[in-house]
Amino acid sequence: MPLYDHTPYSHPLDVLRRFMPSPLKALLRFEEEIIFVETNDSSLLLPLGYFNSETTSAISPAFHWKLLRDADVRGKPARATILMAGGLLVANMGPACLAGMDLERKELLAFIGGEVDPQDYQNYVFPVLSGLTRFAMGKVVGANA
Amino acid sequence: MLPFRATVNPVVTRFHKFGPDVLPLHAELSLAGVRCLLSTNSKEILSCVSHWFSTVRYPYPTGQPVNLDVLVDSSINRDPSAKAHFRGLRHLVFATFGIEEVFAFDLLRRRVVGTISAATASDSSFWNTRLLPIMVGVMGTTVGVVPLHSACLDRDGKGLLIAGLSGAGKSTLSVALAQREFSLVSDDWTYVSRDGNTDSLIASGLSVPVKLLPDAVEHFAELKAFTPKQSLNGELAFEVDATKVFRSQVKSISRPHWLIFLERDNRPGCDFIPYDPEDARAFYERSAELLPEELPGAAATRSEIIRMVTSGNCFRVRSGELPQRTAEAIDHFCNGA
Repeated sequence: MPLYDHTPYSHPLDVLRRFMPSPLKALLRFEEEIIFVETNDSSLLLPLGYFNSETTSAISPAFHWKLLRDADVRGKPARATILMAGGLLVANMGPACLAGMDLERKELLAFIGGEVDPQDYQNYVFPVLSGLTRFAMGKVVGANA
Repeated sequence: MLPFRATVNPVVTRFHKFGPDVLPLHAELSLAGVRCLLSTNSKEILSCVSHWFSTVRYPYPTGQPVNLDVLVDSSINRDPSAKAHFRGLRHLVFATFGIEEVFAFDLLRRRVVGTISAATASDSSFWNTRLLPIMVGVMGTTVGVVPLHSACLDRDGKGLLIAGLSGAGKSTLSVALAQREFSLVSDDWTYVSRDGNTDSLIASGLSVPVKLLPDAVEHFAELKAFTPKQSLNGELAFEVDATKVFRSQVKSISRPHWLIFLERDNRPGCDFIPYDPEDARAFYERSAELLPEELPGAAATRSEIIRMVTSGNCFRVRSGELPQRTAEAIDHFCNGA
């Protein structure tokens, strides 16, 4: 059963939700790479492969994802607009999914709305997050291709 | 290697790759001490923000610039009824206006990128009362310009900062003071920076409309001609041009001299009580937005500016009077101080 805290997050000095807790942390397999993922909803990890190692402390993840389920954001994800500006890639799917990829820091940061169900996530959101990550890992050529 | 489009099709509708070739128009803006290098493909945007071209406004030295890259895409639809939606993680902040219009703020690299519709590009109100104030609020601390949730008025070059809890009546009092001998710099957010490397401060406003809650109509008959509307944060409020509605004098900058913390009181009268600078500093620190650990320099800059702001003439003003009477008392107090 997915672990998911449905309580909407609210803090008067954190209107941007920067400090929304993301207590679930895991090393997971993304294609042939290992990535470190932080989240507040384990269902967002399901498309990723389980990584089992007894020596995780020695693993240096190739990438860092922080995925936050944004419980009180309504609506479904729209088709994505990708902005590429230097070391920053942004995927806008409306308020229901906002993601930013920092190429230098090898970080993917994303908010995913409360009404994005597993099918939406699998069919629309996860492919975008994956595509951004492949690009950041240098496994794809640029957007003009 | 795979081509990028192939990896994410068919769920992507647009790719925008930012660069000099797609953003050939440039301007340097000066926004409350923030130097902003704007690049765009839209003459309409340049026209809307020409008020802020840096040759016109800010005479004081400023720090590193913020780059603002805005691409206008005629295929983007504008949703005029959409509320602004903000989120941030670590050094990135996102702002969406409807489904298709988006800005991303990279606080580490001091860069803002966005794509908007042609309709928004030519909407002067969007630029001057929404996007540019948001940009200064989000990015300012990274370039030494600290947003303080305080009103600011000016008298003969001396700035009066008015702080207080939400609902204390800062905006209402600001308008009442601006109907006397004070010039209005800001009724809500004031942007404070150092004057070069000196120990003096500059307080700036962004000439945005004054925001007054619906009950302000009890104090200002001028508001009867207007209807409150939903503001950026969802509150119902009057948003009016103080120069036109109240015939107030407006200034863009001042030098902080007095700092008062406004408190509503049920008892009649208006008392001025010296406020310990440490308590004043703690008030600002406690009410400031939490900053991520990726931005230690911004947090340090903010604390230093707060220390400087609160090191001077600080008072608590407890008032049970109407705004005009409170303004009169402050007017007399500043004359004698």
